[in-house]
Formats: sequence, C-alpha cells, structure tokens
Amino acid sequence: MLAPFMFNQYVIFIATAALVILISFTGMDSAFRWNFRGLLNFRKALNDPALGMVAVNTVVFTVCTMLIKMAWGFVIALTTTLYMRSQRAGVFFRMIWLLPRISPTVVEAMLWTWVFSSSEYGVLNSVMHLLYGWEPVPWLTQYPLLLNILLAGIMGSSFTMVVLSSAIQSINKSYFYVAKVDGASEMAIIKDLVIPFLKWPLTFLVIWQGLSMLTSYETILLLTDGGPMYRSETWALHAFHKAFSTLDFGYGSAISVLLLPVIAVVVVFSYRMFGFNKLMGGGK
Amino acid sequence: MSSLMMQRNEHKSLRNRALRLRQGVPNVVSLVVMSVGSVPLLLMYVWMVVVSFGDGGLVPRHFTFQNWSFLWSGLSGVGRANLNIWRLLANSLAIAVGEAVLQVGGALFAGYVISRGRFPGRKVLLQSTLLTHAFPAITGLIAAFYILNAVGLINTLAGVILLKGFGGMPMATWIIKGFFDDVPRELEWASKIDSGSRLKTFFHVFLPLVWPGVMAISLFAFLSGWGEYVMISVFIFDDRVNTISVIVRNLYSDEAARGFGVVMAVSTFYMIPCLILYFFAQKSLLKMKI
Repeated sequence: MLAPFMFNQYVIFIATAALVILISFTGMDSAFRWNFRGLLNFRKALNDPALGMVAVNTVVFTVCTMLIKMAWGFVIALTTTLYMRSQRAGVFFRMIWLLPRISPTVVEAMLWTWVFSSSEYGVLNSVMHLLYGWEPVPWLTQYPLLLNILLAGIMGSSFTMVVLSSAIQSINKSYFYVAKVDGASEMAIIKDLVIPFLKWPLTFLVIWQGLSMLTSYETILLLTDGGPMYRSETWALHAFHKAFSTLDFGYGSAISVLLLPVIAVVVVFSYRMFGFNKLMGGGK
Repeated sequence: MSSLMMQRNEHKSLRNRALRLRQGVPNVVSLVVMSVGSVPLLLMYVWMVVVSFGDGGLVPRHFTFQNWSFLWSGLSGVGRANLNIWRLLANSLAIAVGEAVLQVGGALFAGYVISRGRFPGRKVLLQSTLLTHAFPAITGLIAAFYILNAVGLINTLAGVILLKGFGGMPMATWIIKGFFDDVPRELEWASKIDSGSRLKTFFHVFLPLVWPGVMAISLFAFLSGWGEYVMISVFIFDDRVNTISVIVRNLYSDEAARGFGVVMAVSTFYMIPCLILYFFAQKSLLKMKI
C-alpha cells in the first residue's frame, strides 16, 4: 500500500536530485551526453553578464510580491471575517478572491496581458484613450517587472486569505468583546489581539511563500518571458531559459542547483525553530 | 426642569448615535475597501465572458457566436494546422483525471498506513515530505526531462501524468494523513472486533470519515493537472497531444492585434470545469492550505 509513496520519496526524488546535480557538472545538451567538465558551469555563472541583473530582479520580485501577498491577503481576511457586519458580504468577497485560486495560470496571465496589452485592444489602453485620448502605451515592455509583481502578488493573495481567514475565525470571539468593553481602539485590537494570534500563520506564510516566490517562474514566463532584455528575468526563469530555450542543460542545471543552498538554509533553520508538524501546516 | 431633562436625553441619544456610527465605521470602511479592490478582479472574469460573445472591442455592440466557432469548425491560427478543440479537451482531461487518480490513490493508502501503522522508518518517511515539498520545481524539471527521455515517455501524456501525479503526492499524503489521525481509535477497534478485515475496516470505517479530505486532495490534483502549462510546453512537441493551456498561451500572443475575441472564448471554455468545481466545492477549496 505504501509502494507508490515510498517509490516517490526514495527513488524518484533522490534520483531527480542526484541527476540534476550531476548534470550541472557536465556540458550536456539535447544529445544527452555525459561530458563532465568540472566546475566550468559554475565559473561560467560568475561571468554571466545577465546574472547580476537576474539576481537583483529575483530579490525585488520575491520581496515585493511577498509584501503584496501578505498585506492584501491580510486585509481581505481581516475585513471579511472581522469587520463586515453581514456574513454574506464577507463570504461573497472571499468567493471573489478564490477565483484566482481555481483559474489556470495561463488564464490569469492571459487576462493580465489583455489588460496591459500594448495594442489598442488592451483594456488599459482603451480606457485611457476613451478618457484622456492617450495613444497606446506598451505597458508590458515599459514596466515588465512591476506588472509581473502585481500579477503574482494580487492573484497570489488568495492563499494568504484562505490561511488567515480560518486563523481569525478560530480566535475566541469573547476576546473581542472584552477588548471592546475595555475601550480598546480598532488599531489596538489589531496590534495587540489579532496579530499575536496570527503570529504562527504569518510566519508559516512568509516561509513557504518566500521559498515559492524565490523559485517561481511560471507567471513571468507567461506574461513577459523575462524580457525585454532580461528586465523581468528571475533566477529560476533564467535556469529555465538556459535549459529549455538554448538547450544547455548543464548550465541550466548549474544555475538551478545554486538555488538549493538558499532553500536548504531556510528549511533547516525553520525546521530547527518550529519543528516538522508546524512547518508542514499541521496536516489539514 | 423638564426641558433640561429633554436636553439631557437628546444629548444622550445623540451620543449613542455617534457611538453607534463610530462602531459602524470599520464595517463601512471594509465594505468600501473590498468593493474597490475586488470589483476589478471580478470584472476581469466577467468581461472575459462578455468579450467572448462580442464582435470585437471592449464594449461589444452585437451578440455573436463567431468567436465560439472553434467548437464546431476547429481552431485555426497563425502558422498552425487546424486544431480540434475536443481532442485538446480530451488531452487536458486525461492529464487532470490521470493525475488525480494516481495522486489520490497513492496518497490515500500511504496516508492510512503512515497514520495507523507502526513500522521502522515511519518517521523518516513522513519527514521526507518536507524535503520533497521544498525542492524547487525548476530544479526537478531538468532532471525530469532527462528521465522521461531515458524511459521513452517524452512527448506523451503518460509522461506528464506520471510526473504530475508523483510530484504532488507528498503534500497530498501529508494532508490525508491528518484526516486519518482524527479518526477515533475506538471505531477502528470496534470494527476489528466485529471481525472486519483490515481492508474492510479501511473501506467501511475510515473512508467515509476521511471523505472530505479525499474530496479536497482530488479537487486540487484535478485543478493542478487541468491548469498545467510548463511541463506540457516543455515535454510535448506534438500538436496531437497538446492541451488547451498551451493553445491559450499561443493564442494570446497572436490575438493582441485582433482584439482578443477568440482567446477569450477559448479561455472561457477552458474555465468551465474550474467554475463548476468552484460553485460546488467551496468548502474543500477553503480547506486547502497548500
């Protein structure tokens, strides 16, 4: 009964990790030949002219996307579970923000492309033309990184919302009554009551969303494909491009392997700090 | 005297009203903030459907099925042969269902054994889910390409199904294990005393109790397979085994100059299963914390 799972954990996973590390020491291309060349790929990475910008993009993308996800997700959770008198309204707004969670990434990127399209059919361009008579602006080539951050941040805030809403709902209501009777201001209630209760869910979200943003590339691949001129290329996307556009599997692997130490540090550190059960979100 | 009383009462009621108003402020502010923030998102999805039935342009003047003609006459695009949407649909469906069956099957039994069994290496096996969960997708993708090529599953749906099915299995197992942990021991014992075999106990006692968990992981496996784009774009080169996601991607780069009508129609078509699940499985959707 355990066979498929054990096969995955002990055979597929270990084979995958071992393979990609081995490939990173080779000059493998689409012919799949194992021509080992030592550390050449890693030395090449040091001299890759794009990699500096890519690193900066990755940090900016990860930090800004995280901020949007956390802040907006928190606002949705707080307003819809705590402040709205009508429960129906709260559920309605949470429903709307579940939409990005069920939509395929391709559809999200398509909608974003449509809104910011450089053509006259783009939503923003049509509206601006209608209101102010603007000529079409190529938004996606002018602000590639910003629009990628908005796409990943806004569409990705559903996850924060789901986790935080259920955390707020599990706070005992009587705390709020007591705080109100004692005359606590709304700000004080958020700062001294809600946030302390959400300390763990927030930490959990920061760890996992941080890791997933650091290694994410799908939305960027679909929206701007890293361009123009690497201006929205992130680390993982760079590895993807090197491996699957130029078919330099060796170099692509090397770049993607360089992500592993960062992830290992975060995982080991949080494992030590919080333990396995909490780190995995306590099961259900 | 009485006028003084009245004045005082008036003052009191005024104060009460002010207090109530102040207490209502967070409610009103929340409603305003959420409306301003959410309406654009909702409009994007609604307008996707509207534009798909329109005759081009942001505000359609006529209702037309023209953009939907791909349903009966196939999709023809720039530099592409005429594509049969139903075949693409079947491929997308095969990946989604295949992934769900493989993943849920593997996870359900593994979750049961890990939750209820006592065997050496149980803890290590469970904790290995953390590693597989944190391992970056891009790093796995390159190795996956090599493995698929080596075993001859490149350019096949089966290859993608296997990768997706196994890829999500650790997290699904961990989640369903949590549901098994909640089943009271007494029930298990009772069933054993009633001479149920282990398998019978599993199907008659456990399965009904962990059913919400099964629904939740199946739902997410299905949605993840249905929406998959990267693996298909990388591992599949043959138009006959392509899926809707790849076609939507190709369409929206072509369509920018033509007004987005067709890509909106295909996307709406592509979203139908998601929307059905959205309306009928919200509880499961809100339960999923992955």
